[in-house]
Amino acid sequence: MLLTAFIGYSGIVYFLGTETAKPIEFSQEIQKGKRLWNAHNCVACHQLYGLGGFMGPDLTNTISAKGEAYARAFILGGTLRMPNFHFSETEVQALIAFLSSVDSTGTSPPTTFKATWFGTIPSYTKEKNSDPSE
Amino acid sequence: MTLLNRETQADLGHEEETVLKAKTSSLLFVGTGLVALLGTLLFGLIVSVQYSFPDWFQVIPFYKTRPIHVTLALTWIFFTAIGGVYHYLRQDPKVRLWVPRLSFVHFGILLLAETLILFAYLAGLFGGREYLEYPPLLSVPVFAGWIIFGMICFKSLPRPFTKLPVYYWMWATGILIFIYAFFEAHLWLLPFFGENIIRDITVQWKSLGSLVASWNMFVYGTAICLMYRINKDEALIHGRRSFFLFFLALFNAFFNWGHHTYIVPAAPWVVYIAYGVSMTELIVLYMVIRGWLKSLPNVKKHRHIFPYRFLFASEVWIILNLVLAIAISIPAINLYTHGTHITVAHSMGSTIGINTMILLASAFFICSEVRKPMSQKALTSATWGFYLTNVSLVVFLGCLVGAGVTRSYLTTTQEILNFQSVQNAIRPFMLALVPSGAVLLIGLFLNIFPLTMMIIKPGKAIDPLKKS
Ligand code: HEC
Repeated sequence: MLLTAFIGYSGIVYFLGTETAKPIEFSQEIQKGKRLWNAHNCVACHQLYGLGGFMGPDLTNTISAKGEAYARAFILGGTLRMPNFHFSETEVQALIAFLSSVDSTGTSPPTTFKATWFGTIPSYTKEKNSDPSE
Repeated sequence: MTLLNRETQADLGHEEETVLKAKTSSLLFVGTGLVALLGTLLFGLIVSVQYSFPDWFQVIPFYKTRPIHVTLALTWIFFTAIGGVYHYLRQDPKVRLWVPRLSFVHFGILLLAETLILFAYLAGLFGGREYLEYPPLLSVPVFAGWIIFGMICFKSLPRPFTKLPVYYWMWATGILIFIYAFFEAHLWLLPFFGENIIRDITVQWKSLGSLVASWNMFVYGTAICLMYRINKDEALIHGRRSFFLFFLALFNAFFNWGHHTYIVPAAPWVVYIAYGVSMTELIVLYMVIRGWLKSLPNVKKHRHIFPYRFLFASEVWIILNLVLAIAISIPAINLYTHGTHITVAHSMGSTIGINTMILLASAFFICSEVRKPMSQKALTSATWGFYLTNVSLVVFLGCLVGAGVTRSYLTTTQEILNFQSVQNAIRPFMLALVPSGAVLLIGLFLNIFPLTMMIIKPGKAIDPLKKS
């Protein structure tokens, strides 16, 4: 019984719960950016939607909040705390493309909240999120 | 009486060779686990210093030390738990271990995977997934090792399964959950998952939650098995309460991961379900241990003083963790705590406070059964270690909670979003983390050392019947 519920639930989470109405096109460049993101273990220090290490800031919305040029400066040069990975120009561009695509999926940490009968939960800003149930 | 039968059977029976082999593999697992514990503590210390002083120790930079620290911690938990499973299986007269030699293959494969993963980190080869940060190819041997483990357990357990004590159920499902969750953690390799960032992160949390649930199955199962081995109370392993704990843990394994995803913009009901399910299992575990502590006569406490102490400590930590965990799974609070050091406090609290205490109890129990008793000196050292560990852990977790509270206070109430100013505000806490972590390391070392010595030094235990 529990098992069927689990299988059903997993399926729903895979297919429905996380479906986005207007999926971003995952271009070659974004893919490359994601590969670079993984290969350099950015997640050890940075979070996306709160998942990842705490050494550096959450990068979910860095691009829209601070702009490409700002992010580029960090990625190209590194800082005292962030290593300089000696990326080439196209690599930096790919990472920026990846971060922009993440940025377009929502906000983290959430900024607007919705009060419900059991407490306050984040309500996602409409223009950014394309959650079908909204 | 049963004990006598068991001992003679183990020592004289025709299965002698089988039994001995199975035994050695369990000690290999426990021994490796202890070494990994020391390793993860050392790297944890390095990580916490690097956090505050980024230019220190550049030989292995932070983005390498952190995954090494995590991997060694997982090794400690899983290896020691697996070693325990082999030991307790071997001791059960009703169980005939299926091809005991395979348990060495199991050990060999996992050790190989482990070593390769550590080398990959040192060499800077990453897969870049939180907690499983190695190149995905190295998951293949890990996966193979678990399939072998699953085969050994399912072939060895006596039928019918319905009559089995609850801890066998926990271990067996723990294996299945691990295999599934591990598979799920690699779904991102498929474009369907990998190319939708929301789906990717949600499924990633889901699988990580189940992986944690899998080791909880092992650790809680170990706790119950250990309590039963000490006081032989049948109610503990066939009782309603224990099976209730089992089903609850299973339920949690399936659905509880969601409290991590409150801030991921997946459909809201994913979040609601998670909240509905959270945090009930610790209460039951608390009840089980409580009941056991009450039922234990003094004599037994003395003979198994270390397992007793560590189980007792784990109980206290369960209460503390429960308070923290329930608090952070309330969405309104979680909103502020998520992604701060409070989450770290929660995970450190349960991995060190609960899991490590239970696993050390198990390690002491296993060693006391198959090796010569500890010398007086070792006893004193372990006693000191026990108190140092627990006291420093309080300070350690206090620092993390302090840092988390400060950070969320600043970012949410004061709207100070500048990363640097927040980092500066929590710096005192992060600095205090280092000495408390160092004392924690010393405390645990005082336990690890005598245990490792017991394992290394050959020699058999004195018959427990003669002792009492
Ligand atoms: C060793 C830890 C570490 C690693 C690994 C790391 N970073 Fe950083 N990063 C930081 C820190 C810390 C900061 C904040 C600036 C500072 O304090 O020096 C930062 C800042 C940034 C910023 C500016 C964000 C802002 O809002 O200010 C971007 C963009 C960034 N990192 C991208 C990356 C990318 C892409 C990678 C992987 C290729 C990466 N980082 C790997 C530590 C790290």
